[in-house]
Amino acid sequence: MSTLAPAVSEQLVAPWVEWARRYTRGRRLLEAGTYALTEGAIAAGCRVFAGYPITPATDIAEYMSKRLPQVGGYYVQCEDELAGMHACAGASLGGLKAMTATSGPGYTLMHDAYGWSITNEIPLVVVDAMRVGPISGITGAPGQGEFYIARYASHGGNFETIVLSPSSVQEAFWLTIDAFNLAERFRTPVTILTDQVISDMWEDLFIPEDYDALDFVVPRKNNLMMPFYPVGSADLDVPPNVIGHGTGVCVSAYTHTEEGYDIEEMEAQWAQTYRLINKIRHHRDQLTRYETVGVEDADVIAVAYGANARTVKTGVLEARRRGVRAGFVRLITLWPFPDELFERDVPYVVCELNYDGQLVREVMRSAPDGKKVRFMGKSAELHTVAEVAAGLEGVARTGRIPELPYIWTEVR
Amino acid sequence: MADATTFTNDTQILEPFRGIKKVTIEEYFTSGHRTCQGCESALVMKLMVKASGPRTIVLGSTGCMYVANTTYYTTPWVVPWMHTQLGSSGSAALGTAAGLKALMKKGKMKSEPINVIAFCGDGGGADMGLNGISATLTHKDYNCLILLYDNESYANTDIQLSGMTPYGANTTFSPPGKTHRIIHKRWKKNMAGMMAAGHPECRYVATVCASYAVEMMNKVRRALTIGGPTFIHSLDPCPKGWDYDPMLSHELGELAIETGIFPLYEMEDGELRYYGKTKAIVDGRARKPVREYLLKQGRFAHFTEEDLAYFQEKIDEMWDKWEVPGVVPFKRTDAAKAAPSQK
Repeated sequence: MSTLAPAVSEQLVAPWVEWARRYTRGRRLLEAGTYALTEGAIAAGCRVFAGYPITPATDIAEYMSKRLPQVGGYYVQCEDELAGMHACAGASLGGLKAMTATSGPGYTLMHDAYGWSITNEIPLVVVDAMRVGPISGITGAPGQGEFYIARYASHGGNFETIVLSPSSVQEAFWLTIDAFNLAERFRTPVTILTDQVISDMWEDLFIPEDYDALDFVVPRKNNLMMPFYPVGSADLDVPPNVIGHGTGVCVSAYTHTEEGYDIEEMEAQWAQTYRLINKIRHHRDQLTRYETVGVEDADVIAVAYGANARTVKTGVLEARRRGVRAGFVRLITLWPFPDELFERDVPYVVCELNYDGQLVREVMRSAPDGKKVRFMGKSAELHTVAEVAAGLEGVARTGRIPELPYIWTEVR
Repeated sequence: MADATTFTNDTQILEPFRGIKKVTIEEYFTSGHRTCQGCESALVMKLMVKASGPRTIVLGSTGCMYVANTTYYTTPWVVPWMHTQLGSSGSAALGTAAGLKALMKKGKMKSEPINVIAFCGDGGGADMGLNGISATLTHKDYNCLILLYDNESYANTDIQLSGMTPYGANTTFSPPGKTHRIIHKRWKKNMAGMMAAGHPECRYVATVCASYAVEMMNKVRRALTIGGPTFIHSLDPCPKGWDYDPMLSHELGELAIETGIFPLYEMEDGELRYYGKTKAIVDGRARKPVREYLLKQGRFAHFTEEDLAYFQEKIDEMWDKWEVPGVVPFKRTDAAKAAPSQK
């Protein structure tokens, strides 16, 4: 189909474009997304995995239980997800890169530990393989219900989170390394929002042969010089890691001074929260990853992420073939939200796998005219190419999305 | 037994079945489930609700028996049944019992004793839901029975390690390899002992095995008759997770007891009573070697003589060195008290 479509500009902005160009020696496999996530973590230097089984993320734990002993790492089975994430936070404080993986029900249980890791600036990676909900939903069906939960992953406010979402098995591999890099660079937990399709899907996967030769992997840095700031200071945007290598440390969930002592002073509260927020907000140029197709001349732009983006992209190309100048934006970085991708004043059609309308609200906020933003929500199943093409055609020709079965278009 | 009452609410007075011929014919867990061939947990469910009778509410947290029992418009349940979130079985039972009590107290429903049974797996009960169960066992004003069905793995998500998985077992999270033969090195939790020792106001704690069906049912009936929060731990051989021929389910349950790996006892108002084959072991009958039990299961197929000896040693310790054999793992300080090994 794409060969019939008119030429259209495509752009992928992500660090792994260069990585993939530089590292070409390796193995080419047919593997699952969970395998790619596991190997990506191992390649990034993850040496501790603490988790709890839950479909569709169980395979990550299974692969980890096999792979980590082979590379001198530690696999820990915990009694629940809360313990899993706390164990990872402890492992990271102890000096090793750590990861945990779960699905929606476990992700909500992790939020206590998530907030604790944010405030204590503990680098680690959480994989959430989203399935359709609410609650347990269907274990074998994809969903995109955790877009906002991943942003507001803890109570209390005053923080920013980093959330990435892959849309292919190969991308899951590179993106996991990237997630570890960002976690180390910004000293914060990073969520990988994958979904049941990406996790369980088997696809072509290239894996570089020598993980030690990957020069882009950010190593665990330790600052052994005094005075050290376990949790950073107002002057220092992102402090180096000081933990786990013989340095003294004071870690607390309360508002703390730069040395880590509890304090109930407004100045300390402001200093801490400004830093937690600004270390991410001021570095959005380093955080934004996305893919676009033909947005420059588009009359209507489709927006999606994750597994869903694959059919949406094909739908956009199909719409182009039908004579609609359609564009496509695939978000890879979901949070901090890349407002700059929505500068063109055209109608946006946001396709996501929930009826709530989560991503669409952010697009409405960032687009020049929120009233031109349309919603195509679907539950438990990817959008079909026909649906997306019909939606884009409808918006381009009549300004409305036609009535389609099981597609929700209202945002309230 | 007729005078047995709870602290506040009356309970149903369920006399023990005197032999297999006296067991009621009615079934409250019938056809319509999709458990594996040879599934002992399904049998435990069936016997449990047969013992408790029609005026019963069964609930519990996610586990293999929860995903296998109400799929695609089929269900074996005749009594009300509730599938709660993972880890919540104790709390949900407490809430249900409290809700019933409040409605009866206010006269909004007919005042009658209703059995509330929380049926939870080893993952949902002994790992994640341990805190909820422990808290429930301290609420003496509410009648609910927590029955932990222990198939020694997360069978729902395809046999992962749980806190109740025995030492060295092969699960998808602990695959034996050439370099590391034994991946799972943690010893199994002593769940019933922990519940009995740690909850002074819990009036009844028992261990059961469905291989001894009538006794198992009678323990359930006793727990429900006594009232208050009570706890029963059931060992359920699982053909899929333990990797054996489904026809051996009963035999493995018997072997677990005869080898002394799983003791059968009940604790009523603080008084311990061993029963069945376990009583014979305590009275001096020789235990079978653990290898008879372990080598019948594929999950221990990688065990060497060394591993078998280690396992045997731990079980011997349980019977020879524990303060209360098989129940309380405090080591005896007085060596003179120690009974000779009964290998």
